[in-house]
Amino acid sequence: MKNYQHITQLLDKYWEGETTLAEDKTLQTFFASETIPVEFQAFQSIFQAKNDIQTQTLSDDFDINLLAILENKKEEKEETKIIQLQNKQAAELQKWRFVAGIAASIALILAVYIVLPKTETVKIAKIELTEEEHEKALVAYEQTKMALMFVSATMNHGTQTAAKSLSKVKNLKEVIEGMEN
Amino acid sequence: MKYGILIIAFLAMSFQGFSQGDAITKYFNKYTEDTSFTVVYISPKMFEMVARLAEDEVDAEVQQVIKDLKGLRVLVREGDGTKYYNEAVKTLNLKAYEELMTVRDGNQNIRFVIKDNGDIIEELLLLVGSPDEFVMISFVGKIDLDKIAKLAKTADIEGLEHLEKVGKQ
Repeated sequence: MKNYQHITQLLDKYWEGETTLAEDKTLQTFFASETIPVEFQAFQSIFQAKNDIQTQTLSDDFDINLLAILENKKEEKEETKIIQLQNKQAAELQKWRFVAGIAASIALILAVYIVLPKTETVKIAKIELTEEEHEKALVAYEQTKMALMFVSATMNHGTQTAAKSLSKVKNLKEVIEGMEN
Repeated sequence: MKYGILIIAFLAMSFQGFSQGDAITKYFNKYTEDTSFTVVYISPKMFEMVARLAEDEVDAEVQQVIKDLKGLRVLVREGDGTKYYNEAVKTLNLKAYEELMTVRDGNQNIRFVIKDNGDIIEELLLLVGSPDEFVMISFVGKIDLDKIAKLAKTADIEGLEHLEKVGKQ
Protein backbone atom coordinates (compact mmCIF):
# COMPACT_ATOMS: atom_id res chain seq x y z
CA MET A 1 0.00 0.00 0.00
CA LYS A 2 2.93 2.19 0.74
CA ASN A 3 3.92 1.76 -2.77
CA TYR A 4 0.52 3.01 -3.94
CA GLN A 5 0.76 5.98 -1.64
CA HIS A 6 4.03 6.89 -3.31
CA ILE A 7 2.38 6.50 -6.69
CA THR A 8 -0.51 8.75 -5.66
CA GLN A 9 2.00 11.40 -4.56
CA LEU A 10 3.90 11.11 -7.77
CA LEU A 11 0.72 11.35 -9.81
CA ASP A 12 -0.31 14.49 -7.94
CA LYS A 13 3.10 15.92 -8.71
CA TYR A 14 2.76 14.84 -12.33
CA TRP A 15 -0.58 16.66 -12.72
CA GLU A 16 1.08 19.71 -11.32
CA GLY A 17 3.83 19.24 -13.84
CA GLU A 18 6.51 19.11 -11.19
CA THR A 19 7.83 15.57 -11.62
CA THR A 20 11.44 14.97 -12.53
CA LEU A 21 12.43 12.75 -15.40
CA ALA A 22 13.28 9.98 -12.93
CA GLU A 23 9.87 10.23 -11.29
CA ASP A 24 8.21 10.15 -14.71
CA LYS A 25 10.14 7.00 -15.42
CA THR A 26 8.92 5.44 -12.14
CA LEU A 27 5.33 6.23 -13.06
CA GLN A 28 5.78 4.80 -16.50
CA THR A 29 7.27 1.56 -15.25
CA PHE A 30 4.48 1.31 -12.73
CA PHE A 31 1.75 1.68 -15.31
CA ALA A 32 3.62 -0.64 -17.66
CA SER A 33 3.41 -3.41 -15.12
CA GLU A 34 0.47 -5.71 -15.37
CA THR A 35 -0.78 -5.52 -11.81
CA ILE A 36 -2.35 -2.12 -11.50
CA PRO A 37 -4.94 -1.39 -8.83
CA VAL A 38 -8.36 -0.42 -10.15
CA GLU A 39 -8.20 3.14 -8.90
CA PHE A 40 -5.16 3.75 -11.17
CA GLN A 41 -6.46 1.94 -14.24
CA ALA A 42 -8.05 5.13 -15.60
CA PHE A 43 -4.64 6.69 -15.96
CA GLN A 44 -2.99 3.61 -17.41
CA SER A 45 -3.78 4.47 -21.02
CA ILE A 46 -2.16 7.87 -20.67
CA PHE A 47 1.17 6.55 -19.45
CA GLN A 48 1.10 3.58 -21.80
CA ALA A 49 0.58 5.91 -24.77
CA LYS A 50 3.36 8.08 -23.51
CA ASN A 51 5.53 5.05 -23.21
CA ASP A 52 4.73 3.99 -26.77
CA ILE A 53 5.68 7.37 -28.14
CA GLN A 54 8.94 7.44 -26.27
CA THR A 55 9.93 3.95 -27.20
CA GLN A 56 9.46 4.69 -30.85
CA THR A 57 12.89 4.65 -32.42
CA LEU A 58 14.09 5.61 -35.83
CA SER A 59 14.32 2.69 -38.16
CA ASP A 60 17.77 1.71 -39.42
CA ASP A 61 17.03 2.80 -42.97
CA PHE A 62 15.66 6.13 -41.80
CA ASP A 63 18.82 7.98 -42.81
CA ILE A 64 18.95 6.27 -46.16
CA ASN A 65 15.29 6.99 -46.78
CA LEU A 66 15.70 10.58 -45.77
CA LEU A 67 18.72 10.99 -47.99
CA ALA A 68 16.84 9.34 -50.81
CA ILE A 69 13.95 11.73 -50.34
CA LEU A 70 16.30 14.65 -50.22
CA GLU A 71 18.03 13.39 -53.35
CA ASN A 72 14.68 13.20 -55.05
CA LYS A 73 13.90 16.71 -53.99
CA LYS A 74 17.23 17.82 -55.34
CA GLU A 75 16.56 16.14 -58.66
CA GLU A 76 13.19 17.74 -58.77
CA LYS A 77 14.83 21.04 -58.14
CA GLU A 78 17.30 20.42 -60.93
CA GLU A 79 14.44 19.51 -63.18
CA THR A 80 12.72 22.71 -62.32
CA LYS A 81 16.02 24.42 -62.95
CA ILE A 82 16.19 22.84 -66.39
CA ILE A 83 12.62 23.86 -67.02
CA GLN A 84 13.44 27.33 -65.86
CA LEU A 85 16.48 27.32 -68.12
CA GLN A 86 14.32 26.23 -71.01
CA ASN A 87 11.92 28.98 -70.15
CA LYS A 88 14.84 31.35 -70.09
CA GLN A 89 15.99 30.16 -73.51
CA ALA A 90 12.49 30.56 -74.81
CA ALA A 91 12.41 34.07 -73.41
CA GLU A 92 15.79 34.78 -75.01
CA LEU A 93 14.52 33.43 -78.30
CA GLN A 94 11.44 35.57 -77.96
CA LYS A 95 13.65 38.55 -77.32
CA TRP A 96 15.77 37.84 -80.39
CA ARG A 97 12.69 37.33 -82.46
CA PHE A 98 11.51 40.70 -81.26
CA VAL A 99 14.84 42.29 -82.16
CA ALA A 100 14.87 40.53 -85.52
CA GLY A 101 11.39 41.81 -86.12
CA ILE A 102 12.46 45.36 -85.44
CA ALA A 103 15.52 44.94 -87.66
CA ALA A 104 13.38 43.56 -90.44
CA SER A 105 10.99 46.48 -90.14
CA ILE A 106 13.86 48.95 -90.29
CA ALA A 107 15.32 47.14 -93.30
CA LEU A 108 11.94 47.27 -94.98
CA ILE A 109 11.53 50.99 -94.30
CA LEU A 110 15.06 51.67 -95.53
CA ALA A 111 14.43 49.61 -98.62
CA VAL A 112 11.30 51.59 -99.30
CA TYR A 113 13.16 54.86 -98.84
CA ILE A 114 16.09 53.76 -100.99
CA VAL A 115 14.20 52.02 -103.75
CA LEU A 116 11.17 54.27 -104.01
CA PRO A 117 12.96 57.51 -104.93
CA LYS A 118 14.72 55.66 -107.73
CA THR A 119 11.53 54.30 -109.16
CA GLU A 120 10.01 57.71 -108.68
CA THR A 121 12.73 59.43 -110.70
CA VAL A 122 12.25 56.79 -113.35
CA LYS A 123 8.57 57.62 -113.32
CA ILE A 124 9.31 61.34 -113.55
CA ALA A 125 11.61 60.74 -116.47
CA LYS A 126 8.84 58.85 -118.19
CA ILE A 127 6.18 61.45 -117.57
CA GLU A 128 5.43 63.13 -120.82
CA LEU A 129 6.36 66.78 -121.08
CA THR A 130 3.46 69.11 -121.64
CA GLU A 131 3.27 70.59 -125.11
CA GLU A 132 4.62 73.92 -123.89
CA GLU A 133 7.44 72.27 -121.98
CA HIS A 134 8.21 70.12 -124.95
CA GLU A 135 8.44 73.16 -127.18
CA LYS A 136 10.72 74.96 -124.74
CA ALA A 137 12.86 71.87 -124.25
CA LEU A 138 13.29 71.53 -128.00
CA VAL A 139 14.37 75.17 -128.31
CA ALA A 140 16.75 74.74 -125.38
CA TYR A 141 18.09 71.59 -126.96
CA GLU A 142 18.67 73.30 -130.30
CA GLN A 143 20.41 76.26 -128.69
CA THR A 144 22.56 74.06 -126.52
CA LYS A 145 23.42 72.00 -129.56
CA MET A 146 24.44 75.13 -131.47
CA ALA A 147 26.55 76.33 -128.58
CA LEU A 148 28.16 72.91 -128.27
CA MET A 149 28.80 72.77 -131.98
CA PHE A 150 30.35 76.19 -131.89
CA VAL A 151 32.54 75.24 -128.95
CA SER A 152 33.47 72.01 -130.66
CA ALA A 153 34.27 73.70 -133.96
CA THR A 154 36.27 76.41 -132.24
CA MET A 155 38.14 73.80 -130.28
CA ASN A 156 38.97 71.92 -133.45
CA HIS A 157 39.81 75.14 -135.24
CA GLY A 158 42.18 75.95 -132.42
CA THR A 159 43.87 72.59 -132.53
CA GLN A 160 44.03 72.80 -136.32
CA THR A 161 45.63 76.20 -136.11
CA ALA A 162 48.06 74.79 -133.61
CA ALA A 163 48.72 71.84 -135.89
CA LYS A 164 49.19 74.17 -138.85
CA SER A 165 51.66 76.26 -136.89
CA LEU A 166 53.45 73.15 -135.78
CA SER A 167 53.70 71.87 -139.32
CA LYS A 168 55.04 75.27 -140.37
CA VAL A 169 57.68 74.98 -137.68
CA LYS A 170 58.38 71.49 -138.85
CA ASN A 171 58.71 72.67 -142.45
CA LEU A 172 61.03 75.41 -141.32
CA LYS A 173 63.06 72.87 -139.43
CA GLU A 174 63.27 70.71 -142.52
CA VAL A 175 64.35 73.67 -144.60
CA ILE A 176 67.01 74.53 -142.06
CA GLU A 177 68.15 70.96 -141.89
CA GLY A 178 68.19 70.79 -145.68
CA MET A 179 70.33 73.91 -145.82
CA GLU A 180 72.70 72.50 -143.31
CA ASN A 181 73.05 69.35 -145.28
CA MET B 1 31.65 76.36 -83.49
CA LYS B 2 33.74 73.98 -85.50
CA TYR B 3 30.61 72.59 -87.11
CA GLY B 4 29.45 76.09 -87.91
CA ILE B 5 32.67 76.76 -89.79
CA LEU B 6 32.41 73.42 -91.53
CA ILE B 7 28.85 74.11 -92.59
CA ILE B 8 29.75 77.53 -93.91
CA ALA B 9 32.72 76.07 -95.77
CA PHE B 10 30.51 73.35 -97.17
CA LEU B 11 27.88 75.84 -98.28
CA ALA B 12 30.51 77.99 -99.91
CA MET B 13 31.85 74.97 -101.73
CA SER B 14 28.44 73.86 -102.90
CA PHE B 15 27.65 77.35 -104.15
CA GLN B 16 30.88 77.36 -106.07
CA GLY B 17 30.04 73.96 -107.46
CA PHE B 18 26.62 74.83 -108.72
CA SER B 19 26.65 78.43 -109.76
CA GLN B 20 28.50 79.86 -112.63
CA GLY B 21 31.28 82.10 -111.47
CA ASP B 22 30.00 85.30 -109.97
CA ALA B 23 32.04 87.44 -112.31
CA ILE B 24 30.58 85.68 -115.32
CA THR B 25 27.03 86.03 -114.05
CA LYS B 26 27.65 89.71 -113.45
CA TYR B 27 29.16 90.08 -116.89
CA PHE B 28 26.19 88.35 -118.49
CA ASN B 29 23.71 90.41 -116.52
CA LYS B 30 25.45 93.56 -117.64
CA TYR B 31 24.54 92.83 -121.24
CA THR B 32 21.18 91.16 -120.77
CA GLU B 33 19.39 94.45 -121.42
CA ASP B 34 21.69 95.47 -124.28
CA THR B 35 19.79 94.72 -127.49
CA SER B 36 22.96 94.57 -129.56
CA PHE B 37 23.75 91.35 -127.69
CA THR B 38 22.13 88.03 -128.21
CA VAL B 39 21.74 86.43 -124.82
CA VAL B 40 20.93 82.79 -124.13
CA TYR B 41 20.52 81.35 -120.69
CA ILE B 42 19.48 77.77 -120.11
CA SER B 43 18.76 76.83 -116.52
CA PRO B 44 19.36 73.50 -114.80
CA LYS B 45 15.59 72.93 -114.83
CA MET B 46 15.54 73.45 -118.57
CA PHE B 47 18.33 70.92 -118.95
CA GLU B 48 16.24 68.45 -117.00
CA MET B 49 13.45 68.92 -119.49
CA VAL B 50 15.82 68.60 -122.41
CA ALA B 51 17.00 65.29 -120.96
CA ARG B 52 13.41 64.09 -121.14
CA LEU B 53 13.04 64.67 -124.86
CA ALA B 54 12.34 61.55 -126.85
CA GLU B 55 15.27 59.77 -128.43
CA ASP B 56 14.16 60.33 -131.99
CA GLU B 57 13.97 64.09 -131.42
CA VAL B 58 17.62 64.50 -130.54
CA ASP B 59 21.06 63.42 -131.69
CA ALA B 60 22.42 60.74 -129.45
CA GLU B 61 25.95 62.25 -129.35
CA VAL B 62 24.62 65.70 -128.47
CA GLN B 63 22.27 64.33 -125.83
CA GLN B 64 25.18 62.38 -124.35
CA VAL B 65 26.90 65.68 -123.63
CA ILE B 66 23.75 67.56 -122.64
CA LYS B 67 22.61 65.05 -120.06
CA ASP B 68 25.48 66.03 -117.76
CA LEU B 69 25.09 69.78 -118.21
CA LYS B 70 23.58 72.04 -115.58
CA GLY B 71 23.68 75.45 -117.14
CA LEU B 72 24.50 77.38 -120.28
CA ARG B 73 25.05 81.05 -120.93
CA VAL B 74 25.71 82.48 -124.35
CA LEU B 75 26.51 86.08 -125.17
CA VAL B 76 26.95 87.06 -128.83
CA ARG B 77 27.49 90.44 -130.40
CA GLU B 78 28.04 91.32 -134.01
CA GLY B 79 30.88 93.77 -134.55
CA ASP B 80 33.37 95.34 -132.18
CA GLY B 81 34.37 91.88 -131.02
CA THR B 82 37.93 92.70 -130.09
CA LYS B 83 36.82 95.49 -127.76
CA TYR B 84 34.40 93.29 -125.86
CA TYR B 85 36.85 90.41 -125.84
CA ASN B 86 39.47 92.56 -124.14
CA GLU B 87 36.89 93.87 -121.71
CA ALA B 88 35.80 90.36 -120.82
CA VAL B 89 39.35 89.15 -120.29
CA LYS B 90 39.95 92.11 -117.99
CA THR B 91 36.66 91.86 -116.10
CA LEU B 92 36.48 88.14 -115.56
CA ASN B 93 38.68 86.60 -112.95
CA LEU B 94 40.42 84.24 -115.34
CA LYS B 95 43.04 83.40 -112.73
CA ALA B 96 40.46 81.16 -111.10
CA TYR B 97 40.43 79.09 -114.27
CA GLU B 98 42.84 76.78 -115.89
CA GLU B 99 43.90 77.76 -119.35
CA LEU B 100 42.95 75.14 -121.86
CA MET B 101 43.66 76.87 -125.13
CA THR B 102 44.58 80.32 -126.34
CA VAL B 103 44.71 80.91 -130.08
CA ARG B 104 45.46 84.03 -131.95
CA ASP B 105 44.86 83.61 -135.62
CA GLY B 106 45.13 86.83 -137.55
CA ASN B 107 42.80 89.27 -135.81
CA GLN B 108 40.77 86.57 -134.12
CA ASN B 109 41.36 85.72 -130.48
CA ILE B 110 40.15 82.50 -128.92
CA ARG B 111 40.41 81.62 -125.31
CA PHE B 112 39.29 78.39 -123.67
CA VAL B 113 39.46 78.13 -119.93
CA ILE B 114 38.12 75.45 -117.58
CA LYS B 115 37.45 74.94 -113.93
CA ASP B 116 37.98 71.39 -112.80
CA ASN B 117 37.56 69.33 -109.71
CA GLY B 118 39.97 66.44 -109.98
CA ASP B 119 39.36 64.72 -113.31
CA ILE B 120 35.96 66.27 -113.82
CA ILE B 121 35.65 69.53 -115.68
CA GLU B 122 32.88 71.52 -114.04
CA GLU B 123 32.95 74.68 -116.08
CA LEU B 124 34.01 75.56 -119.57
CA LEU B 125 34.32 79.14 -120.65
CA LEU B 126 34.97 80.16 -124.21
CA LEU B 127 35.77 83.66 -125.36
CA VAL B 128 36.06 84.59 -129.01
CA GLY B 129 36.85 88.08 -130.19
CA SER B 130 37.40 89.45 -133.68
CA PRO B 131 36.44 92.75 -135.36
CA ASP B 132 33.36 90.94 -136.71
CA GLU B 133 32.01 89.39 -133.54
CA PHE B 134 32.26 88.71 -129.87
CA VAL B 135 31.20 85.36 -128.44
CA MET B 136 31.18 84.20 -124.88
CA ILE B 137 29.92 80.76 -123.95
CA SER B 138 29.90 79.27 -120.49
CA PHE B 139 28.91 75.72 -119.73
CA VAL B 140 28.56 74.29 -116.23
CA GLY B 141 27.95 70.72 -115.22
CA LYS B 142 30.01 67.67 -115.96
CA ILE B 143 31.88 68.43 -119.14
CA ASP B 144 33.50 65.87 -121.34
CA LEU B 145 35.86 67.69 -123.71
CA ASP B 146 36.50 64.65 -125.87
CA LYS B 147 32.82 64.20 -126.58
CA ILE B 148 32.39 67.90 -127.31
CA ALA B 149 35.39 67.93 -129.66
CA LYS B 150 33.91 65.02 -131.60
CA LEU B 151 30.55 66.73 -132.13
CA ALA B 152 31.70 69.09 -134.87
CA LYS B 153 33.71 66.36 -136.56
CA THR B 154 30.70 64.06 -136.83
CA ALA B 155 28.40 66.90 -137.90
CA ASP B 156 31.11 68.25 -140.22
CA ILE B 157 29.58 71.70 -140.29
CA GLU B 158 31.40 74.93 -139.83
CA GLY B 159 30.83 76.16 -136.29
CA LEU B 160 30.33 79.77 -137.29
CA GLU B 161 27.30 78.88 -139.37
CA HIS B 162 25.69 77.43 -136.26
CA LEU B 163 26.43 80.53 -134.36
CA GLU B 164 24.33 82.57 -136.76
CA LYS B 165 21.44 80.25 -136.07
CA VAL B 166 21.92 80.73 -132.35
CA GLY B 167 21.70 84.46 -132.90
CA LYS B 168 18.47 84.20 -134.84
CA GLN B 169 16.63 81.98 -132.37
